[in-house]
Amino acid sequence: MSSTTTAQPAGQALSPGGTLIAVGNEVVKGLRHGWAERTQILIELPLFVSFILMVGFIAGRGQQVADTGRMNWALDTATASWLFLGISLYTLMYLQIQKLFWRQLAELQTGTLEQTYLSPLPSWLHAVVGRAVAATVEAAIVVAAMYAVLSLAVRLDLTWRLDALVPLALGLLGTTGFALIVGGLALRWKGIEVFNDFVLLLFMFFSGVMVAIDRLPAFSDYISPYLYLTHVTAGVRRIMLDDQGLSTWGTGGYVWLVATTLAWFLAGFAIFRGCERAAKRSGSLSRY
Amino acid sequence: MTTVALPAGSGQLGHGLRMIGNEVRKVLHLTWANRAALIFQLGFMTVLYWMIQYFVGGGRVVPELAAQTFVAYLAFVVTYVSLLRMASGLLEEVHTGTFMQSLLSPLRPWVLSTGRLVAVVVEGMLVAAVLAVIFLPLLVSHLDFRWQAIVPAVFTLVDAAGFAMLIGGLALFVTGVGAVMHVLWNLLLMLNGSFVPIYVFPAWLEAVAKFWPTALGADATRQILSDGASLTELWSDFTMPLVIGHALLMLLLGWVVFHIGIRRGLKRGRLGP
Repeated sequence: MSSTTTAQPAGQALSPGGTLIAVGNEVVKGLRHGWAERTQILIELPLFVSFILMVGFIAGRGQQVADTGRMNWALDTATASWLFLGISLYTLMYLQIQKLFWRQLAELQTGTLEQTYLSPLPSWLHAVVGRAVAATVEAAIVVAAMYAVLSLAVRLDLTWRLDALVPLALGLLGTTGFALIVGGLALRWKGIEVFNDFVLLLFMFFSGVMVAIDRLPAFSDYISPYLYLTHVTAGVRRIMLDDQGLSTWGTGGYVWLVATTLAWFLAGFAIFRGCERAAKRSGSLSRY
Repeated sequence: MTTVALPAGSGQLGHGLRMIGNEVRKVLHLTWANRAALIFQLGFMTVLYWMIQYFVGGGRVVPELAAQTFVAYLAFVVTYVSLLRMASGLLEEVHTGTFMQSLLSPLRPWVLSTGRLVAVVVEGMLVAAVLAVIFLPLLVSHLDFRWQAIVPAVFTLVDAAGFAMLIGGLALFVTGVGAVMHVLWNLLLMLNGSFVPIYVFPAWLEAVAKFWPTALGADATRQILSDGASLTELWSDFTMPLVIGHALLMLLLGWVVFHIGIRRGLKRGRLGP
């Protein structure tokens, strides 16, 4: 009986060129996954569009409904533009986390996750890189649809500036860290779907996506500054709503932006590796 | 080889009831064994409602509005937990192969399905009960508790159970249902009256919302608890017949899709890993 061996034994370091090719392949694979899930995107589109319309209409109308039993279903430019930016950034993070989580869970349950350890690429890179690109493309489509539909209902007053890409790119890095945390925990513990939803919800609230930071309860001062999304959202709003460059200090400034995104990325990396080691020891990489 | 003999024709109902009881016990055992997830679930549900009301109130919770939306939110909670267990739990069992094992039982598949369904609804109701205890002090002065509210509330539960079964059945056909589950529960949350009561919606949206699971039943319950309506009034203005009809249709649809899913899956060998 003859046996076949791969030219690149598992675990052996790749050359820089080889690494680039492998990462490129992962990205292509992720995009193929995304394309295979195009029906899902079509199903998700109405959700995000109706969500942004709904929150735009009902924001702050509680007392009016309680007093009169009626509501004025009208949007104003300032509120809609402010909410659109926050929710778009949140959508970018949300889709990336959800996609990574459900894909990894399915691979864990079917036992195919272990196969990825045969690759010379580091496992954490496997977990996030392809899916991150696919989720970003997907989020771009969803955000474009939200923009188009919202623009039909109200004029959005946004300034399109290239420097908005800086907080956006840092946001993607922070989200990669967050995705690694969720992915790592999913390797170790079953039934974390609700944990995932819960943490995403806390992010939405405490990062000022839907309610301005200064209107949040006092205790949020201990949480909001440490969420990278708080600074990404504040930074993008400063650029695209106020037409100003990023500041150095303060919420949404360079220092907080870089510090929080790096901290989340490194924490994600460390947690993923720790959970992965524990999962290997307990044999829960293939099945719980 | 050993086979389990089931007395022919006799005691099928008794076995069925015991089976349902066992399923409920099993789910409660599993829930308790996985109590860390339960804590997150409760935390998630509590924070979500508070957050929605805080947002709609523009930076504060408006108790009068919360009293009008809380029943719909409780209905959402039961549906969410049932959905999660019926679809995600089912997919996990399919992927790990234990779902096929459950079909080896001498009991008919409908008994198994009923056991599973009752168990997930009971779990959802327990979570909803804890939430009610947490939020009732805020709402108690704005609600008029009357026993009549139990009738539409029960049909709301039936509606939720039917919907969970429908999605559980679809999960057996469509791979990737798990990944779009968030779409379903988010739409449910927006349309069933958890943000604002559905009577506040524009006419066309109110009509759409009434097709969604739990919206009609939750609104009928709200009318009794919050507006002082009686069951007779709700019956005569055709609200209750619609609530009952919607719930029974949803249960029937869920039941049919779920069993077609099992039958098709068995034929094509898609119920295992």
